[in-house]
Amino acid sequence: MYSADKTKKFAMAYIVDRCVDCKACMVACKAEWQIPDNDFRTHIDTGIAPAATERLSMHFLPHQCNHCDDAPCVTVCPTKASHKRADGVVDIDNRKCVGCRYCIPSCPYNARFFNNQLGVADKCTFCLPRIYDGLMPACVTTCPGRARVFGDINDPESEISKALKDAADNRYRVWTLRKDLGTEPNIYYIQK
Amino acid sequence: MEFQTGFHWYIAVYLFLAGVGAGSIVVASLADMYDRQKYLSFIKAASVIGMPLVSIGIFFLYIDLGQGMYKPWLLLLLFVNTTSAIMWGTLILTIFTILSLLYGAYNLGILDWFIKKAGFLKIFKPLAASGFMNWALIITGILTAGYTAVLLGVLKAIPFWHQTALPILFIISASSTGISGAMVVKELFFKEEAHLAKIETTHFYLIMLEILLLIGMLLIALQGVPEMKFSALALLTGEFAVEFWVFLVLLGLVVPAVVFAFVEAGKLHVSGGKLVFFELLVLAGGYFLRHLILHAGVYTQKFTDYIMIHY
Amino acid sequence: EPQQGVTYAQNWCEMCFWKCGLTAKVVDGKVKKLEGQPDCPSNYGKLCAKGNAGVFQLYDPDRLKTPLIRDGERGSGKFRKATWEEALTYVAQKTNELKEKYGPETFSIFAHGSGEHSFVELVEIIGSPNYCIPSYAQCTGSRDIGWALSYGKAVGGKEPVDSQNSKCIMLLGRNIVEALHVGEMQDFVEGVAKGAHVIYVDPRFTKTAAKANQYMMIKPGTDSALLLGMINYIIEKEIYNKNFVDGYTHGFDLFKEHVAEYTVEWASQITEIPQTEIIKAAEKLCEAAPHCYIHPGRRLTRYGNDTQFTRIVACLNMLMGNWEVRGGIYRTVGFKYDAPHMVHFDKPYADRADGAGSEEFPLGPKNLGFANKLMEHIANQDVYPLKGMFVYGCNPLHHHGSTEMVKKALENTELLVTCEIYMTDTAWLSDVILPESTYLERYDPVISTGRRKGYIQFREPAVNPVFDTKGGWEIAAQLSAAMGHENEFLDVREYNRLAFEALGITEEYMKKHGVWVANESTPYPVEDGEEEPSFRTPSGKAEFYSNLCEHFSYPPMPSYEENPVPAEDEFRFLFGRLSFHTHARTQNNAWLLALHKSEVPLWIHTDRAKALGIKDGMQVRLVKEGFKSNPCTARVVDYIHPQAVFLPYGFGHETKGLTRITGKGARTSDFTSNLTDPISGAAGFHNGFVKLEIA
Ligand SMILES: Nc1nc2c(c(=O)[nH]1)N[C@H]1C(S)=C(S)[C@@H](COP(=O)(O)OP(=O)(O)OC[C@H]3O[C@@H](n4cnc5c(=O)[nH]c(N)nc54)[C@H](O)[C@@H]3O)O[C@H]1N2
Ligand SMILES: Nc1nc2c(c(=O)[nH]1)N[C@H]1C(S)=C(S)[C@@H](COP(=O)(O)OP(=O)(O)OC[C@H]3O[C@@H](n4cnc5c(=O)[nH]c(N)nc54)[C@H](O)[C@@H]3O)O[C@H]1N2
Ligand code: SF4
Ligand code: SF4
Ligand code: SF4
Ligand code: SF4
Ligand code: SF4
Ligand SMILES: [Mo]
Repeated sequence: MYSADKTKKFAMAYIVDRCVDCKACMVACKAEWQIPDNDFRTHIDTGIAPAATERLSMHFLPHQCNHCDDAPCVTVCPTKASHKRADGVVDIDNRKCVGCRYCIPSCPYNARFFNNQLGVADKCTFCLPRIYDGLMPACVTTCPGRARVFGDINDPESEISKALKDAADNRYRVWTLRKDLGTEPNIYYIQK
Repeated sequence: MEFQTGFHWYIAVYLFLAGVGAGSIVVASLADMYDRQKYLSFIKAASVIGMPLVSIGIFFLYIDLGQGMYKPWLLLLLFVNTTSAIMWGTLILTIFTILSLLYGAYNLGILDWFIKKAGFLKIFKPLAASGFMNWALIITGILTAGYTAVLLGVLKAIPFWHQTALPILFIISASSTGISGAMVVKELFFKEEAHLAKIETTHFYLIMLEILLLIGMLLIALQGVPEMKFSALALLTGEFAVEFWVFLVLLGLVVPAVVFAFVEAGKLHVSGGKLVFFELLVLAGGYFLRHLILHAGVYTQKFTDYIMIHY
Repeated sequence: EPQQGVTYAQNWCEMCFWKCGLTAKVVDGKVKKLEGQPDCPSNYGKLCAKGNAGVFQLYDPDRLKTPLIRDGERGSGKFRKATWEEALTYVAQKTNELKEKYGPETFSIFAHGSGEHSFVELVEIIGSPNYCIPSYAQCTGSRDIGWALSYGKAVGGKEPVDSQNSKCIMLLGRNIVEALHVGEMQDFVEGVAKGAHVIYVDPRFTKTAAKANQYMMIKPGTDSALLLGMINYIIEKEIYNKNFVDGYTHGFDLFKEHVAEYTVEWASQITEIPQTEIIKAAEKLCEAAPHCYIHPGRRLTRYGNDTQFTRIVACLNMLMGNWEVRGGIYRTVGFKYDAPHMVHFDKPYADRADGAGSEEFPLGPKNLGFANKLMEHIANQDVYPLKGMFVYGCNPLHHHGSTEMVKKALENTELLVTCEIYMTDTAWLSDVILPESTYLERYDPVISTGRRKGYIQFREPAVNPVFDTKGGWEIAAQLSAAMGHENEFLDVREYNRLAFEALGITEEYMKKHGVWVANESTPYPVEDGEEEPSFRTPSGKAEFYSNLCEHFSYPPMPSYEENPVPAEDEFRFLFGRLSFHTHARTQNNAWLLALHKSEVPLWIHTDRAKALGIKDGMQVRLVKEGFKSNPCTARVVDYIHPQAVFLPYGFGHETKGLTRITGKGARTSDFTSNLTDPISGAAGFHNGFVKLEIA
């Protein structure tokens, strides 16, 4: 395993306008990590607003683990199998996980599931160790809409820093999920 | 909205059994302090189920653990994270289990039997018989029962669980089902004549209190955030309505409450098989309370800005 | 040989027909992951959900594992396992018997997919002209003929619409986001991100509609009226591209007169789209012209008059003058090289049974055939005896407009040989099933593809065949030999070696990159001033007035034709794609099934559902002439035209061989219409009318 690089802080952004709900990310992730059965580490929700009006609008909203800075799953994990790494990734150490499932209902983003094949909790790992091999996460690599942007937000030259800067410069809407919960998520939503 | 699926019925069994076990010991300890001789049959009955039920409960938790069977040494790690309610619970349950084991062994005369075999064990006897023991059991017992709710209550992610009323409800239900459990055992195994009117009265009021708390909790939930309302409606009219109304409300609460009300009013005398039957209803209700609250938990919505349709 | 450690193999995706370039990652002899080739112009490094699920297909225990010979009643599903030798000898012997009895033209072949030519050429060697590629008659046939009549060339399989540079995009039921082809969708998303004005027309609000600035819920079957109304408005207001129309088109004045009656008001009445919306669409296009396009459509087999509909689309594009300019219709950059031949054979002598290229359908391409018509003649045996059928990589029981017709045809067939990877409905009824290796297990001849660049794609096996299967070319070659033909097929690797030689590249290069870009000349020669617009039409111009139509006595200018409408208590049956399934081929793939929890959605409008007591999530059946489908899950929405219901293509399999999906949902071909376009000969599917009932 690659140890965490303290100088980095990994994050992801979804450019919501570019997501077409093709679900390629879901399957790429499933293939990369051999996720069993009916589970996925990332999902796409469909937002229809308003429900029925003359001018219907529909948005596709990906989600996965937010790698929270103040992660409830880390707080409640009795074994410290769920932990926050120095590079910002919230990871699960499968060797320590007893499979108590407590972290699953603790996550306000419903990002976790129980991996029945391994008997442990499972969720997005930001594709560790893939990202240390110079690759993008599997979901980012495959995304035909180029809706997903990933990188180190400490590095102003990273794709994600550029995307966030671009969004700020152009005054796009940028938000994270449920700021009110104090979890300090690291996945940004960008919408024109 | 999405129902949580992380915790399922194994956990409900765990919460339930831990509640019954702890509740019975708490009530027995109170009775012990009040008048040991008068309530001895009850105390003995509670002793039979107290520690064992908690242990069976823990066993359910254990078999639910994805790794419990394969890597038992990981259980030691359950103590490492002080911020985890599971850590608190493991600690409380461990203490409570040891204490109630000692207390039960003492009450049932098993401790004496052991002392005959191994004399040094006699140092435990004064402790087991002490008032301190009673207090320790009351406190750890309430903590155990309360913990079964705190486990859920600390999770902000599930608004329906994240309520102050929940621990109170669970403690009351634990006491009530604890009494029922002990009563059933008493009726079956400790048939000696006993005057348990006080306990029966207490039981009746506990059930009434539980009904009121449940109503209150649901009313508050109906006024709460949409997720809470959704959970409450899932119980009242939605997915879980049948189980809720039939098993929890009617059989688990209303029928016993009515019967015990008649008993209180002196209009009815139930004992033997009939009593066992009604106490079993209370127990079933206690299980369904946890089962339903567990399953009706829905995640807080991720996307508040949109009306979500999950495909 | 299975290797230890990590290796990579080049391929193109065969989960649909777009052929995205991909690299397979192989760990310890097992394919672990597929990823797009970053340089492949089909997909620039991306794969869709289906492409990613190719790994599951490779190791799917439901795959065909050995040759099978029928060993019971047809449809009983009783087969015995056979060795390759046994199966091939059996097929060869039966084929020769039938040939003896009825003549070589008694054979037909329906073939689709990268390996289609293997069996097509086998059937040509046998001596029959009856080969069909269903993606003509069931898919793009009418569109390509209509476009060719207007511009002198077909649209082609990789639609040359320049979305990424476009300022205004109009799509009429071209559900570019769900009926997706990665490269084309990427361009579209780029265009949207750059702020193109997107006009989307569909009876239902699709995921493409979600990306549109203007969505029009059109009454199904009235698109011609909408476009004619827009054309009328654009000509009346004189906001068309005069330079292009004056300089490079033919018959504008006649056309102007011809469309004078099609006012916006009239169009609005017919289409149920407000006049303001129609006008807005027309104006937005003209403002953006020439950097705009109206999509020629993809599966344009709707109402049996789709050739003339495409003519209208082409005419509207002509008014934009968007030929070979950025944001409009670009020029497909192909390239020529001296490609080797896999095999040599004499052309067959009998006439095609389906009439493609005959006097009745002079424009019907003989090299693609009419899958719909040929099936009809097999069912009716009314041209000459058609007793032997080969099926390669397609599924007539699903792709045809009428299941009944196909079943009747199969009853009349004395020998049905299917080359497949799965036990499909068609395979289930076959006499012999020849299991092909999947794309990840075989070589195929290199292919050349054209988009904005011209390129070569390479396929090599990532792993040895998982089961006892062979590549299509090998099967065809061995069959041909077993039948006693002397024609020598090249080995695929030898073919590729010769092709690389002709191209001047090395196998090493292709093994490393998987794709080779051969031609990078401009796809916008007109805009870049390199060429004047020129067209291979009789007039040498883009034709509002089609000389060829006149020559063949078809209406030279397109008019509005009314389509039949369903009765009060019926629905028009619409169907199409989900982003994460391909046709009838991926429904059993567990990774893809998991995406929709195995549910088969049936869209219905809220009001109509209410009247029938149908609630969202309920199980409902489609009913047509007493025939009932398996249950589907009602998806009650406000955003489908009340006259229509919509079902995804590809469910309702009868075969027992697709264990995860057999019997779930409805089969579209049980409910579609089976019309024939009078010009192209292609099918018309959307005049099927159905009722619903709660299951
Ligand atoms: N009712 C209805 N009919 C339609 C359509 C519709 O939407 N509804 N759409 C029409 C359109 S646009 C098209 S293009 C056609 C498509 O019609 P088909 O070409 O029949 O489409 P698929 O269902 O993809 O069938 C391909 C078959 O090839 C098999 N296959 C996959 N890989 C391989 C391989 O490597 N080798 C071999 N030998 N076989 C393989 C698959 O298992 C599958 O059964 O259908 C047309 N017909
Ligand atoms: N995911 C996925 N992508 C695919 C395929 C696949 O199987 N799966 N297949 C590929 C192939 S071979 C093809 S041909 C293409 C097909 O690509 P398309 O032709 O774009 O797709 P369809 O899904 O057949 O139909 C598209 C839409 O037409 C609408 N429609 C129906 N009737 C009318 C009408 O009267 N007017 C208008 N304006 N719209 C109407 C339907 O509601 C539907 O949304 O997709 C290709 N891409
Ligand atoms: S792959 Fe990209 S475009 Fe497709 S659903 Fe995922 S995030 Fe959206
Ligand atoms: S999103 Fe959920 S799983 Fe991920 S870090 Fe936050 S709380 Fe933990
Ligand atoms: S399931 Fe594993 S990761 Fe989750 S809380 Fe329990 S021990 Fe921690
Ligand atoms: S980052 Fe990796 S693990 Fe996380 S959702 Fe994407 S592919 Fe899956
Ligand atoms: S569009 Fe998808 S299924 Fe089709 S070739 Fe590309 S990756 Fe494969
Ligand atoms: Mo097609």
